[in-house]
Amino acid sequence: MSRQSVEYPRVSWASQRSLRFWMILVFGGLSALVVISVSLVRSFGLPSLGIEGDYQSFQRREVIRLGLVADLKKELLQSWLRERLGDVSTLADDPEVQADVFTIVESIQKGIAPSAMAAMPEAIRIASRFRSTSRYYSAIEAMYLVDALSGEIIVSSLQGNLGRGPDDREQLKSIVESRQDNSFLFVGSNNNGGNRSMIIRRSVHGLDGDMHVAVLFSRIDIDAVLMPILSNGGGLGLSGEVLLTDKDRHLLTPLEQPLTDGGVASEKYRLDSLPISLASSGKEGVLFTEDYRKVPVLAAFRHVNLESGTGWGMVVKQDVAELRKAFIRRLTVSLWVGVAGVVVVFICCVAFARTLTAPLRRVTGAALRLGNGDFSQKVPQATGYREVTELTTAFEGMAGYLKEWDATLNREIAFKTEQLNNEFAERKRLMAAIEQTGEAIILTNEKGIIEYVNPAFETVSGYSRVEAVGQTSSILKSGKQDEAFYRNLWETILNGRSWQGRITNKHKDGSLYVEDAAISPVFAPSGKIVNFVAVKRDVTAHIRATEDKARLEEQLRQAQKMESIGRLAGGVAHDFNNMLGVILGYGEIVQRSLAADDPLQEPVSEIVKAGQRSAALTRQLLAFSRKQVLQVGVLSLNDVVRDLEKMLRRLIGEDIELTLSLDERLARVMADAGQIEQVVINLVVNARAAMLHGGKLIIETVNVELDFDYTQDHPGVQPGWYVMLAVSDTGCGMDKATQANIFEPFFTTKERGKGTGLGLSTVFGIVKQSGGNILVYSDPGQGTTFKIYFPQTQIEPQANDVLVAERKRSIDENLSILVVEDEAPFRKMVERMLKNLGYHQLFFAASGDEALRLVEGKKMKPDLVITDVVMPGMSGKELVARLRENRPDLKVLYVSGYTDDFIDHHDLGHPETPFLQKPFSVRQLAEKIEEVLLSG
Amino acid sequence: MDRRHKMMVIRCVLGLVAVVAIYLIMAKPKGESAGAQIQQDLSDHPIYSTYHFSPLEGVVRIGIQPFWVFAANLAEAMRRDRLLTEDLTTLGLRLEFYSFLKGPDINFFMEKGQLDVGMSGYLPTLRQASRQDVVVAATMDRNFYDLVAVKALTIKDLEGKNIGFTPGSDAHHALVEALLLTGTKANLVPLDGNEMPAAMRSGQIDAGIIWEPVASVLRLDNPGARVVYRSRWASFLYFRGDFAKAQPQAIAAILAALARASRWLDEDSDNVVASSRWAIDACRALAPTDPLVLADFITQSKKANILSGEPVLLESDMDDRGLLASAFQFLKDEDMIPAGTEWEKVRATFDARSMESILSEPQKWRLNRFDYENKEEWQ
Repeated sequence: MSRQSVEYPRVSWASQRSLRFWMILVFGGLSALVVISVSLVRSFGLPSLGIEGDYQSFQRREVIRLGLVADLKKELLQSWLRERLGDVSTLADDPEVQADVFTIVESIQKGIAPSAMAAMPEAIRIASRFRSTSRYYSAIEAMYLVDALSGEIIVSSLQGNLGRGPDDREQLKSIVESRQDNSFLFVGSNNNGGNRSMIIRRSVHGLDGDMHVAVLFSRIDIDAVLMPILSNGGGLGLSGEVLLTDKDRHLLTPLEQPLTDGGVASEKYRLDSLPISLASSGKEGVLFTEDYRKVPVLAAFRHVNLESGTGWGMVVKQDVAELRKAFIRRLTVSLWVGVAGVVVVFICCVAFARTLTAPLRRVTGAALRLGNGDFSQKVPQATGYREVTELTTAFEGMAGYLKEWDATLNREIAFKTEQLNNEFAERKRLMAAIEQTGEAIILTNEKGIIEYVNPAFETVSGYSRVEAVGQTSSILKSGKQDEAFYRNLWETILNGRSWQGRITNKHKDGSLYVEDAAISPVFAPSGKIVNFVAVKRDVTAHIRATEDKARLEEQLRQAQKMESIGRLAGGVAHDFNNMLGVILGYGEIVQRSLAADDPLQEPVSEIVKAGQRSAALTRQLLAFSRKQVLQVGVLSLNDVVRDLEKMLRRLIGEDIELTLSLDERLARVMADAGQIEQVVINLVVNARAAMLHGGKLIIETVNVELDFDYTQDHPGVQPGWYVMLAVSDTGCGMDKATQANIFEPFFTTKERGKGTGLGLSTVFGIVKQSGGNILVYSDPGQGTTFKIYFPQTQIEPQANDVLVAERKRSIDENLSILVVEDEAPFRKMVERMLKNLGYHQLFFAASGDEALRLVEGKKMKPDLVITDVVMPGMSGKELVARLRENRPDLKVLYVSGYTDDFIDHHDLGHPETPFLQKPFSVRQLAEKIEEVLLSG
Repeated sequence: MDRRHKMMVIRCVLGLVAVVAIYLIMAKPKGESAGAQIQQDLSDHPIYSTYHFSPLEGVVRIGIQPFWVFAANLAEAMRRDRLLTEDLTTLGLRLEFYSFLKGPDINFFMEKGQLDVGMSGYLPTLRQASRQDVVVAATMDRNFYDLVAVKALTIKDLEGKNIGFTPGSDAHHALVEALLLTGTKANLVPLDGNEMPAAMRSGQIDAGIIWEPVASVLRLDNPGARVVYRSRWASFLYFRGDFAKAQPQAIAAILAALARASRWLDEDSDNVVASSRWAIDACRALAPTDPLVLADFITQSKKANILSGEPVLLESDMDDRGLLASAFQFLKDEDMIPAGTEWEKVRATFDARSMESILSEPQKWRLNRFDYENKEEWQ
């Protein structure tokens, strides 16, 4: 097997480099680093550790050197100045000179001309002293003695200038008058070719010491003596320079370099550089700064004190570039030596690495072949180092061992591979089952941190796997279970038991859902709990369906109850009406038959009134049981409410504020306007009772659409467009128990005797009979709202939906009337009524059959048939049908105790069908008979 | 003004603004103004509380500073001047000398009326002249303040280092000026002169600006220490205003004694040696301090003697661009004198004529006759 076939694992760049590379890099690199570091440290030091390098030493040396040069220059200058002062002082303080000066000044004061003074022995002696002093120090150009009063020269070391004074007399004048001894004055070169000079002043006192008689001046050529002292002299290199200024920074020495603008500084040029400013103002030190050429320099500045108390500024400077040149040269050499050392070290490293790694490369070749499975390969005997020989021998032994192991390992691998494949397949199936199951599965660690969730969990909870993993299961907490619930759960599973139960959890979107969950611990082989697994099923839909069913059943039960109550009420009302018909009928008959002043008139009247109140109650019962005859027409609820508004305001009183909110685009409905009025009034009365201390009452109308969902929750209601009539109050409201019973007849929360309990049941009955639906919304203390929904209608209203006959007809006493009534008392009562009305052609039958027989047997032809609707055997409708077979124009008036017989069972729902509700009065009967007879 | 000059002016202004800002940060490292530091109540001072300032009318009380070459030499010579004693006796007066550590301390007691004559550097002198009625009549001496530093060669090397200084002294002014001019930021540590050697030994400060002889002590005490910066100063002799008005003859005698002492010290270097010994004794009597090297004290005194000259007030010091005007502005900037103080008023307290008058009559004031007590023992 060739070496090229070996595939190296993907490893880092560093691991791919050879040992030789690393040896060269490490040893060579380290050596270079050490050489460079040493070189740098030696050159620049380690300032943070306080170690100085050559550069700092160089700087220190240069600063010290320049400072010493400056100190030396200053000392030389000051010594020289002191010497020159000494020259003058020696003369001025000499008693002989003082005596001679005194004599000369006295002579002047006596009027001797200055020109004659030269011959005075005293003047000759002083002049001789002047000349000898000048000879002693050749730089002294001249010495003068000036009269303190006249200011004229009285003795001079030069010939011929007595009296008229020297050329610089004007310049001397100021210092003569200043009385400042030991002062210096610089005098520039003049037009006569005079040199730049310095003048020293000294007073000459009289012998008593108090009288100031003359002034001695010494004039010195400074270019001849001062400049050599201040000159560079080679000690400051090529760029070195010494500058001297007076206290106002005016140059006393010429500049050696041109100014930045190329100009040459003249005498008295004022220098503005920092070191000069410092020096002339009395400061001393050393600075790295810029000079007048704006060139970086190292400058030592010194203040030269003068006896007069002022001083000069002196700066000794040298260009930094020149100073650094020597250092840079040394640094360059040092660096080159370092580089050479590094190169040598690298070469040695390369050679040594090659020698060291050659046998290793041979062993590596054998190892590579071994690595490629060539166990038959003989390991070459490498020579060189003991370690390599030992490595080769050990490697050979290892190769044999590996060969045996290879065979064993192959067998093991085959067995384990098959085992793993089986396990893997099983786990894959298991995983697929978990992933595809409908139950949500969560796997957490022992601390409750979610480690896995299946797709069903994602569907149920709304959390993706990425979102859920790493969180705790508390992300699902809905707050519907208390802490004790969770404590119990955790205690159970932490104790190694499974927990089962129902939990309300929170979906990611915040909605709640209910799960039946089973949570179990997962144990490691050691028995320690390592995970918890929860298997959960979402039972929210199931619970909701169950609850919906229960609710609908409850609603149905309620509806059936109301229906039963209605039937019961209707039945009772029917029988009552029959009986009340008799009571009222006879009552009226008796009342009519009695004289107005008859003592029985009052009792009979009370009987009739009681009967009428009972009849009213019975009508309300009928209304609840939806068994009234409705005068149905197309109408607008807005019109009904507006017509009632005035009356309603009176009804509720001033404490209650009535607000109408009526939809101007309100659709119309099919209903009995009178009944709707009754509904509104009853609801308003109910609201007033709830607002004993005042409040707000709102009547609202609006078009609404009731959708399918709404109708699902309200059985019996069809989807579609409705007109809503809402009556809301801000009264005391009511609880749920009260709301469940308010529509039942005779249910009242009022005190006994204060209400009939039929108001809201009447409303209920009218609404239901009108095809509508009524709902109540209320909470104790929060007011009450009744919402009534009437189906909208598209039918246009007509001018007169209910025709009322206005025509009057006189009673035809010969009119033949057939009365069919199974209730004998009622039949007898009707007979008395009709007779009371003046009708005498009267025939009576207890049933339909008897009526037929009567008509057919007696061959009579009744003009009007008054028949009960419901009778044993033949009904009223059948009877009329039979009679109209021969007499199609037969007039018929139906009477009944309730209306369902009339409307529902006998299909006589046409509004124009004549009908009279039991009980009725004589007057009502008369009007109805007249109406029937006048109808077409 | 050409472009180069304009740029220079702009740079100077900007530099000045920058260094003033730096100074405001550096000069008050402990949140305490220099003015506040020098206005200490010294009533309970461990040294001064032992002094009994004579309340007698016939006593002239002079405050002197022994730790101060060359003023100490002059003061000690005056203390021993029999001619001065004679002159004052004639006037019915006698002198009492009180030693102090620094000028602001003398001012404190002069302000309380317990001293009639004082001597200090230009900054305390100016401060006193702005706060109290005084007459400044003579220059005591002229010398340099030395900024002595270890491991530094230039002021810039002191960037970020601790520098000891005596608040309210001339050295304070000199240091701040140096730092401003070179744009150096450093931490300023307030110390009395005699505390500075120990502070430098302990490493509390890396440098200190101080006058002689303490500057020499710092250099000798710390191997490698160097003077990296020096600044010229002048010191003055001044009298309380009411005293000056009441005793003009006594003032003349004292000024004559000062001029005499100056000439005596100038006459022979042996006199400098003698006065240096007296000054060292006075130092030791005042406060326990580092051993002062006599030879060095003498050397420095000789140097200072050369610098000092006649004790007259110089016009060049007092003109509007001179040393005193600059120091006056510094005091105002540092709130060390009342804000409304005018330079002209302070300038008027400097009276040069008295000393000039005395110098013009050397015979009368016996300026060239010398008679000092105990001089012989130092020969």
